[in-house]
Amino acid sequence: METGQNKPKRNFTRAYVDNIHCYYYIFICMMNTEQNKEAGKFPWTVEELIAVAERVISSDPMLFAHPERESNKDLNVRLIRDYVVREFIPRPERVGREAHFGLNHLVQLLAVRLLLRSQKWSLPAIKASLATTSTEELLSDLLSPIRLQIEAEFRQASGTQMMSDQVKANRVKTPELNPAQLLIERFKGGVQPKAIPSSMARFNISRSMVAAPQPESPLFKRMQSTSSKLHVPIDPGCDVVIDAERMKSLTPEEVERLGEALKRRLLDELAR
Amino acid sequence: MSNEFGLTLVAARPALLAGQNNIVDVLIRVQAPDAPSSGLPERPRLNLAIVIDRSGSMSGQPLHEAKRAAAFMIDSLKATDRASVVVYDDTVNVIAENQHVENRNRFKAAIAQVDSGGSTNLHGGWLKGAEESARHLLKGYTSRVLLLSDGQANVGMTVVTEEIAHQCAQLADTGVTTSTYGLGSGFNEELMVAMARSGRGNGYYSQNAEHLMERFHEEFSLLSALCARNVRLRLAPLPGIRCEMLNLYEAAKDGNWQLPDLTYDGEAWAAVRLKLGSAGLPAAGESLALLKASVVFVDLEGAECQIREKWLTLPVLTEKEFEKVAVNGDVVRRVTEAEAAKLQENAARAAKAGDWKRVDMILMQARQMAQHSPWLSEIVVYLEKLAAQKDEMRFSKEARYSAMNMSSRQRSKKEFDADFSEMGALMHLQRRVEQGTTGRFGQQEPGETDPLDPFDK
Repeated sequence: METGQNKPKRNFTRAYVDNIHCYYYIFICMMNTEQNKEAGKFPWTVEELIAVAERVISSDPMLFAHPERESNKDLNVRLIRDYVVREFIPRPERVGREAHFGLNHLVQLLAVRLLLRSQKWSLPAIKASLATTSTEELLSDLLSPIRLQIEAEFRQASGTQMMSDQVKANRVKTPELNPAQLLIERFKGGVQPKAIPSSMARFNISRSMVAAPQPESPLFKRMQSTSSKLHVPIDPGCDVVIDAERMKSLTPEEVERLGEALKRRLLDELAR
Repeated sequence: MSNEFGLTLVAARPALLAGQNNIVDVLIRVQAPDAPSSGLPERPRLNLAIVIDRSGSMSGQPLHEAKRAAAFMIDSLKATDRASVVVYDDTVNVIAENQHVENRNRFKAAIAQVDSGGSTNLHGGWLKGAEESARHLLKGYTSRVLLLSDGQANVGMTVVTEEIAHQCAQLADTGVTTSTYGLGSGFNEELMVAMARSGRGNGYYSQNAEHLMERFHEEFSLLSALCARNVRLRLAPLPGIRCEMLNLYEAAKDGNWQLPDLTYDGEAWAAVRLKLGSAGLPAAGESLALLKASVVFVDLEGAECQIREKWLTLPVLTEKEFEKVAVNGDVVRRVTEAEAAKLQENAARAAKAGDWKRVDMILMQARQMAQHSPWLSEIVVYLEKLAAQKDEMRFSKEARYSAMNMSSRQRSKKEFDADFSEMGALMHLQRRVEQGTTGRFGQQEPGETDPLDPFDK
């Protein structure tokens, strides 16, 4: 049975508990506000990032077209993780318990895909180039044809107009390269001899490798019927392409045998 | 007198024959405005990279002439223009970085100190020139690499002509164009022509060092009168009609045809051959719209402009009516010249392969065509003279450069006028019979001082 003396105490306790709830509520609200801010800058989970990137790529498929592959849809979580580990795109931000990606991640991901697929840069060249190029520079140069789509996706996801702030914040202080300079850097990269891993340095193509007679394979028939390029599948995702037109010193049969010899040697190297 | 850009389509025979397969040759003319009577307006500001080959083969007179030509270019520039000078043998050096031409003496002192060296890293030299030019890729400037070489590239990227030409084309898309100057008979004309053509600049060839200056004058005449860059022609024939480009133009990725840059008084042109079957033809008395043409270009301020599209519409006539329609001699002349350019390219290839029998056959074919073009007639006479000497290097260069000039260079838009005088036209619009020699500029008697020669002072 309640007495009149207990009432104030209980009321006090309740008020005290309510205050704690209130502080806790305010604290949670403040935490959420901070998280929302982060979520605004980094609005995408990895799956969402992939979906957005594929939408942007499909808005200009020719820009990202791979000379030898038809499909543009080969992004997946594993690949994104690989790009993060190999530092082609920055590490994601932690928002709550999840890894989130922002504009700079999307821009760098698209830049990697573009340079790798349609412009056929090597991965080390891409890494070196991205290290000295800011998000804003990538948007205004390399990705300028799809800049509007990228900005629209980011605005829609973040629900804010703070992109320009973020771009400024992400800007790395490097001398700006105009499109011509970017192109020249690429040409320079193309001319310089690429470093050969020591294990591969011993692997020289000699005339003797192609001299051994081999029966004509379906690969060569396909090459004859379609183009001068011979595709030699080594491993899933790894083809060696030999352009027979450029190897005028070799007969088609020798090109074919060269392909077979390369395949054997590369598989041996992989098996070691 | 016209103050606007124009586009016209004219058929060689402006009619279609009812019920028959038809072949229609069409001349497309893209015309720049007339040069103002008060003189040319202030020329666009220039951003030039002068790239000089200083390999061992250039030692002596060739290098002296190259330095003289480079100094002439510097003297011709204004203080608001920008320039850089690059020299290359097996190594590449920037002897004057990209800067305003305020102190000409600084440039000329650097040029004067250049001496001959070793091998020829042509691609490296070009790339460095492009890099210098690209450092100040400013709006309102015309950026161009002027590449001079007398030899075969034998250091750096050496054998992949298509790859280097492709790089020139890509760089031209960003605003840095390339003109090439071949000197003597030892240089790789295939590479130099391909670089100039893809790089949207001009290709020049000089048999002797003393004619080199004239080529630079010509380039400068063109740059001074420039009014439209990156001129692209889009052709849309009616479905079912085959449209064949007769000129040696390159198709861009978007299917447009890349025409030469335009100067005042100039015209870029294209000859196309339309083939249409009898099935799609309307009855006699009606007319048919065969081809739509439109042109886009970039003006000197960098703005994309468009010339209003034009249609070629021809009446369908009965056989009797068709025979009465006169053939347009001007169109036939240009079509002949476009086809003759292809023949000259084939002759150059045959000469390179040492197949002089084939060269003679091609020249005979060209001679038959030459009845429609007095200019072609003179060129054929000159080529026959060279073919008789069986000098494959010289012949292949003459034939290849002649083909490029005949097919892909802009012409004076007054060329068909009865009172047109070749000598009255701007220098870059004058037609040349001999590509590697002759010319009024840069020729002087021994001991005579050339007022343009900065080293003779």
